[in-house]
Parts: sequence; structure tokens; C-alpha cells
Amino acid sequence: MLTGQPICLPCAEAKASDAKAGGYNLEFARIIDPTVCGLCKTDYGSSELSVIGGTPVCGNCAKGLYERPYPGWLKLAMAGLLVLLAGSLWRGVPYFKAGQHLVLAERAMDRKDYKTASAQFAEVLKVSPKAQKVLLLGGKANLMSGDVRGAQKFLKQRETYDSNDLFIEVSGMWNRALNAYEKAEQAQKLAESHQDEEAAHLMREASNEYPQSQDLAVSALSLEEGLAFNRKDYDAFLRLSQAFRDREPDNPMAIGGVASALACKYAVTGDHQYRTQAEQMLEKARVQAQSPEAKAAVEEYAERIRYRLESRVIIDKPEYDRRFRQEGKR
Amino acid sequence: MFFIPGFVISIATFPGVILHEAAHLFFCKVNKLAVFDVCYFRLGNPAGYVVHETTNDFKKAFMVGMGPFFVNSLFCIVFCSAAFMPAWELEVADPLAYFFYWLGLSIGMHAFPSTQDMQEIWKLMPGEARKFNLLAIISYPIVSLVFVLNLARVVWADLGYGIAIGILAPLAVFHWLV
Repeated sequence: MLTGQPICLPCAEAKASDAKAGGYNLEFARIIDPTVCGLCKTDYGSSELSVIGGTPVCGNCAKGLYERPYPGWLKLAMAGLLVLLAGSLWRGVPYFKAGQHLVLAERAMDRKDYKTASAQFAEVLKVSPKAQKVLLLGGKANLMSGDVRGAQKFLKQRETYDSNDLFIEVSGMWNRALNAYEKAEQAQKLAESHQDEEAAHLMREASNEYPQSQDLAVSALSLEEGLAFNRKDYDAFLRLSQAFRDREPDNPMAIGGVASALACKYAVTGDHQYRTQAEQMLEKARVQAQSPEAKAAVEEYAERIRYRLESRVIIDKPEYDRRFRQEGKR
Repeated sequence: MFFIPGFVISIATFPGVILHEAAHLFFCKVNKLAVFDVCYFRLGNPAGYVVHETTNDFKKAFMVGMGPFFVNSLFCIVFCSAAFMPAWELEVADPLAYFFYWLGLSIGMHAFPSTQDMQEIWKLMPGEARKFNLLAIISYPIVSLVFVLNLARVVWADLGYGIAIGILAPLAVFHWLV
């Protein structure tokens, strides 16, 4: 409206433009006829229509405004996606099971239960044989439980790894373990060539480098036991054999080692307490020996210890064999 | 930080735009607000829109304005839950998992209401809060957070939000369930 008269859109735009050029504003608003539907443009004569959002809308059009349907393609796409999602979730059951094993493995790692962790990681591998995190953590679990072969099974699954903190940690552990086993091999060769002192020293170094390895610790103890026996330090022999037995409480030879050390102590002190304990240990070793090989080994060992207990003479196996077993062979 | 034109992001994540507008429409219908026009997706700014009747009812304005935020977030979690385990945790190259990841993250990225979506809420919120409307009061932190996140879209806050709810939420739920 301009001065009480309605004007058309082009005239309104021209007037507004002129006004702006003159430095003042003119604003025009569209005159709404409440009897004409703003959507379908139907003229309802003198009947005023209800206004929705500032626009007169007839009953027919109003229904459409409130009940606007979703397009078919949208409904179809959503239904299709939901079906696909259900299928994917069903198909993903093995993934969720593997994920469950992964969570349990990580929890076992947190509580330092590396054997359980390793078993759980092995289950994850069945579904995800190449996942770096799983392989590295599985390798770490095995390395932490002293199982280098087990670690190798995980780590060899991939040829290359992306470098990250976990990779650096595990590769460091892996290299230390390999280095330790190389030293152990050298120590073994030294022991075979009767360089017992050097062998025991190198084996101890190997064990210190990879302290998680039960094998290396036991080998080091075993060589140190031998050294203590050779230098007639029976207190050290007893202490080392007990440490060996503590590491492998079910190993009949470890128990037999304690019996041997106690027999030495009896031989040098004559204290019957040592003899009684040695006999108890021998019996325990005999009970623990299950396989024919273990039984035979314990019997061989027991024979020499009984001799030591009866005679209070301490001789090593080669000497015992020389004195008492050569004749048997003849 | 790298710049990618908005229309390229919209094309790459179009399911999120469509669901966002569908959610607006859904809440308009639920709240009996007239809808004059709907565009589910287009190459332009905005990439989609719903032109609807305004309201002075705060609850209705809140549902229409914030509804897509909750709907898109929910669908992001649902679709990503089919994918996070093989694609994220197990590193299994499963195409279907990657498809659902793309779908879920696309939807999550478009969860934030636009400034236009929040205009009515902003307008009504102070008055309603003065009348001790509980929804208006608890809306303050939610709307403020969404407003900030919306501004932070330039630094990929929308993608960050998608990842947070699409990966971390299912992961947290899974850890809690095991």
C-alpha cells in the first residue's frame, strides 16, 4: 500500500529504489487476501481461510501441510539399510566374539596374567590374523610369560609393522629375548667343553637380560648349582637348589636337587635333620616322577644320594659311575 | 587443518543431510506443525532444509530444532556398531563394515543443528527459563554446547563428534557389556 492505495510488485520495487536513492527507506508488504488459498490459489469468495505460518490455507491444502508423507525412495532406502544392518550384525557375530576375546585378553594383560592373555589373543587371531595391535599384544603376552616360540607364532603373521609405541616396546623385548637365547646357546657350548665358570656367568647374563624366561633362569641356576657343588660350597648349593625347586615345584629333578644338597650338608655336618629332609625330598621326587623316563632319572639320582647318605662321602656322577657302575656293565 | 569446500563434504556425507532433514520433518509431524517445503538434499547452502510453521511452544521448538541432533546421533551409533569391531578393533578389511562406517560417520557429522535450526529455541529459551520450564533450563548447556560445536565445524568438530560417538561410544558400551 502506498498512501492508502495498493500497488503492484514492479511499482513497489521502483518506488523503494527511488526512495533509497533519496536517502530514506520504503518498505512494502504483500497484501494477503484471507479468502484466497496461498498454496493452491483457489478463491473461496467471502469465506476467510485459516492462516498457517502467515499464509491463508484452504482445508485441502492444510491437510497436506500437516501430513506431508516421506518420499517412497526415502522409506525404501531406510528399510533397505535396516535390513542390511540386521544382516551385517548377524554376520558380524564372529567379530563380536573375537572382540570379546580381545577385551578379555587386554584385561588379562592389565592384571599381568600373560598365559590367559596369550590364549585369548590366539582366539582373536582366528578372525583377525593380521591386526597389528593383536599380533603385537599377543607377542608381548608370550614374551612376558617367557615363551619366545609362542611370541614368534604371533609376530611372524605379518612381514612388516607400522612403527608405534607398542611396536617399539615389543620389538625391543623380542630383540632382548633373542640376544639372551644366543648367549644361552654360547653358555651351553661352554658348559659342554667343561668351562663351567664361564658358562654359568654367561647363562646368568642371559637370564638377567630376559628375566621372564623360566628356561634361562633354570639353566642359570642349574649351572650355578654345579659350580657350588664343585667348589664344595654346600650352603650355596642348597640355596640354589631350593631356588630351582621354587621355580619348578613339580619337577622331580628339581626336588631331587634339593635332596642332593641336603645329603651334602648331612655328609659334612652329620646333622640327622638334613638326612631326614633329604630322604623326604627323595620320596617327593619319586612321587612326582610320572613318565618312565622321569622315573628312571629319579632312580638313578636317588641311588647316588642314598650312597651319599649312607657313606657321608661326596662324589660326583662320573666318579660314582667309575666306582660302582663300571662293574655292572661288564 | 585443511579446507574442503562445504558442498564436497555434503556430497560425501549426503546420507547425514537426508536423515537430518527427515528428522526435522518427523518432529514437525509429531508436533503437528505445518511443513511448507522440504528439500532432503541439494548442491547448495544449506544442503537440505525444512520450511515449517513457527511456534511459541518451547517443547515443540526444542524437539524440531534439536530432534535431528538426537536422531542422527542415535543412527550414527547404531550403524557404526555394525562396523567398529571389524574395522576399528580387528583391522579386518570388510567392505560392508567400511560401508557402515561411512554411513554412520556421515550421519554423525550432520547431527549438529544449524544456527537456523536453533533460532526459535534461542528466541524462546530465556522467557521459558524465567517461567522455570525445566526443559528450557536444561536446554541451556545443551544448546550452548551445540552452538559452540556448530561454530567449531571449521576445525572439523562435526567429524570429531561423529568419531566420538561412532567409535568411542560403541567401544565403551562393548567393554561395559563384556
